Amino acid sequence: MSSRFSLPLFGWLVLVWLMLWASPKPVVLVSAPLVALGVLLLFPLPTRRLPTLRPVRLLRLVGFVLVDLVTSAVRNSREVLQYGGDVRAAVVAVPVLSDTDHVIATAANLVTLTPDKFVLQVDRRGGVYYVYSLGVRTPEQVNRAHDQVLDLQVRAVRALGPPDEARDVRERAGRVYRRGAVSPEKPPEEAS
Amino acid sequence: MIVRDAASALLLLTGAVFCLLGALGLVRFPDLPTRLQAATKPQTLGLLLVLAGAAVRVEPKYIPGLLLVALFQVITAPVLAQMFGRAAYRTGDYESSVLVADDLAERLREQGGRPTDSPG
Repeated sequence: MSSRFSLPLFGWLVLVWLMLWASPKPVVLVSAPLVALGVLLLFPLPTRRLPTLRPVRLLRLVGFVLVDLVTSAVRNSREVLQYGGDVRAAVVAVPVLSDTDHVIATAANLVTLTPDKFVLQVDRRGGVYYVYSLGVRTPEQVNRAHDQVLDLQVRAVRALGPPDEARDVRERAGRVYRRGAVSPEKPPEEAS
Repeated sequence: MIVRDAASALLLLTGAVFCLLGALGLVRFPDLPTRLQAATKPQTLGLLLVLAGAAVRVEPKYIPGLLLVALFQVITAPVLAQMFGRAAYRTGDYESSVLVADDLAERLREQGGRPTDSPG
């Protein structure tokens, strides 16, 4: 029982309930803790430990993702108007920079909000995201998509990851960047 | 008041334009994964802008509700995209001519076509 019960999560659920009804009626106030308790009992989360939150980095991550979302929508619209049915895409393998479930999941979700991409598959054991990237036509663009996903991961890990991962994530990302790579190790086939 | 009206109108209209572009993408793109992109990106931004436009104009007590809509849209849209994208890819429901590179196909070939395990 106690292991299932997480106070911050309980607080969050109560808050969501109150926001949903947007009124301080007694019924709402009484039902909020009951609903929250019910949800916690019926749907226990596998992870007990709450993520480490670093507010400043988290805010910067949110800002970054919002900007990304706008660019994303604009670029996607351009693909629609410019290419339509003649659009091209690629599936790119990108190393996962974290070993924490919630960070991997969050990063995957954030990638989906960034320009032209979504995570097609997470290979948890092998530590690889397979990212579907729209609007990719050349090997350089494949590399750029690869590095963009890494960038976002660095931000996510630094904002939400456990301290030991956050400390050296930049360094680990630096080793796998393809930025300025003259010959990528896997040259993709040219589009015909 | 007129400033708020103008801001609200601008946000609502911009949002609507993005939703329209998303819908256009659904029609013009050739296969499921590309259509998913159109369904998630411009639509999400469009909805957020429409919500912002509404938030400027409505009574303040409704704003938390709008915030919740925005939050859950941002949380759930990627999950949906991921699930559908994976299902489409697994069942071969995509135009291979669209892809200029495919690391996952290479990987699956190496493993004899057996899909790797993965959470959610």
